[in-house]
Amino acid sequence: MEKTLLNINDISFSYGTNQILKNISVSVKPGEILGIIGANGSGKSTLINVISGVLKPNSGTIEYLGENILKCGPQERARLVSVVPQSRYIPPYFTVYEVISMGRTPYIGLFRNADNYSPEMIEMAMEYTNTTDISSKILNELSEGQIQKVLIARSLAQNSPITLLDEPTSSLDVSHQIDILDTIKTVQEKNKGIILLSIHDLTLAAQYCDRIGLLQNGSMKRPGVPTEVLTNENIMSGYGAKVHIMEHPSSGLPVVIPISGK
Amino acid sequence: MAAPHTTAQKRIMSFNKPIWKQISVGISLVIMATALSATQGSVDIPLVTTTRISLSHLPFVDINKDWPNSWETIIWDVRLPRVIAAGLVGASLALAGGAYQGIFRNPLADPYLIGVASGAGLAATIVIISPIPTTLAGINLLPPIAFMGAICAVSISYGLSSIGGEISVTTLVLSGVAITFLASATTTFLMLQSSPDVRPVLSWLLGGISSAGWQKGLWLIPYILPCSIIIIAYARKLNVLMLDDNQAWQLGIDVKRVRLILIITASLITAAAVSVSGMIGFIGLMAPHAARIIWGADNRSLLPMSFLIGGFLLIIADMFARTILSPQEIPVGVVTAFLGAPFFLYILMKSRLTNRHY
Repeated sequence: MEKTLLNINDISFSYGTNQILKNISVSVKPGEILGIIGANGSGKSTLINVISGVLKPNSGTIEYLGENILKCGPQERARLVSVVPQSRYIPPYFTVYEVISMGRTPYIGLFRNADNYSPEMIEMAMEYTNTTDISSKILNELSEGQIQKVLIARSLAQNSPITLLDEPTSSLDVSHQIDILDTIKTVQEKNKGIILLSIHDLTLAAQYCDRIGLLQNGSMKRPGVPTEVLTNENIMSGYGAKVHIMEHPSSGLPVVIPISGK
Repeated sequence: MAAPHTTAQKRIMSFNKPIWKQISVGISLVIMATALSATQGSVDIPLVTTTRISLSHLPFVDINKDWPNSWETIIWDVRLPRVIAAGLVGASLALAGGAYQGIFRNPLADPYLIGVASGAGLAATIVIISPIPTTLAGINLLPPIAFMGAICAVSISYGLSSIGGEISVTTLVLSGVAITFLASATTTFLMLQSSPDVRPVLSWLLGGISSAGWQKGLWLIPYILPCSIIIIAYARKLNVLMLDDNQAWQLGIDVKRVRLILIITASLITAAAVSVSGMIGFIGLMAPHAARIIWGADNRSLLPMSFLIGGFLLIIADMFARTILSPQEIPVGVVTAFLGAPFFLYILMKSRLTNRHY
């Protein structure tokens, strides 16, 4: 097994008797964007919370660089995994700079910062996400799209090899959706990290993800390239929805058009 | 980087600048308040003499004593200890309030909200009205006993709001409010039952720094010094904790541990303050908000500035408490509310105008 891969092996998770994730196994390569799709309640956010350590799985391992990251403490884990959360709640009186600099939290100490604290990461993250000019604004003054960029910048400042994005485009208008995904793509081309992102918009998933995994009642089939996964049958079984699938005129990737149920 | 970022980068640099500037403003305010307060009282002693008397007690300072002995007693044995005790109490309550507002992500949080102060008050009342001696081998027992009361109160609210290791902040605040009422009612009941003369307990309970002497201020130091250092050292982690639990965890904070350490230290300084001064409201709520509105929400400046503003405000409030109706004293809690509420409304109004809502 390649060491630089993120290997998720046989992860199961349940809330009480309600099993949410069933034996999930997937590997992600550096430089790859793995999209996770699935109906509401299929376990996308749970999977992200298990990888980031907020939830403890009942069984399975998550290996990176030969180590089981489930065994790491929060600080050590945060140096490996950063998250752009689905909830964009940040106390409104923090400034953009203050929020982005929180990305360096895994490197701070009580009286002394770690030697690799590297505050220049904060400025780099702001440049990558074009947030330098709004750095002294408070969160209250920002739009949803700008807040999402700030959260992406915070995760960049964390400088972790693994980044998880939980529905980064939800509740954004189409131009901000593209803007956010372009930012993620550009950063990924420079950093060659490991990215997992959950997303509802199947057409966008096809355009931006290298591979896609479909979660269905907590199970995931082997992820594949968009044309393999985004088929009429898969979407019927995963979402119970009828769709028409076309080819994108410029990229040739699948475009998913929902058809009215009746 | 190139020129386009200059303005933004300047702002960032100013954010990164050490907070010594604010801190020195705060310290100067506290020193001025101390000096002013020490000159006020039944005997007016000029500021210069007050300062000289105070300085003459410092080591290695040689000042020719050209003032009457009675002045020396008034300043050194009566006023200064009281002013300093007031400053320490105000600073502790304000720092605890700032910490609680962060821990519970609730702008209404103060040492009273989660039952800490009233728990401490109840424990201290039990000791005061019972035959148990309040000192043992020269050590005052009130602070540790008040701390036990505070910790009992916090443990109950914390225990009630903990479900499967997760804390519901709403339940915590609600159970804290319930405990506050229960403890206050019990305190009142015990007080009325205990002795024909309830005034000593009542006046203690209403809050005041009436009884003088250096002792009271000195008891506080072993509690305040370590706890304040710990709380302020956690400022940056507290910033992150003010997001939600999941985000804090994902940024590498051991949420439960940090919260527990901060609750214990904040409760300890609250208990120490309550054991010296009784119940003084409003400082713990107001000082952190004033600091937040003036200097921003970053706990690295908010916590030390709350500490200084709290000290400053209580010194001033205590000065009014003992001079306005002299020779009668009014409870300092009444003054903090009278002075504090309008001031607080004013800064709230100002913050509305600058679009910095809270």
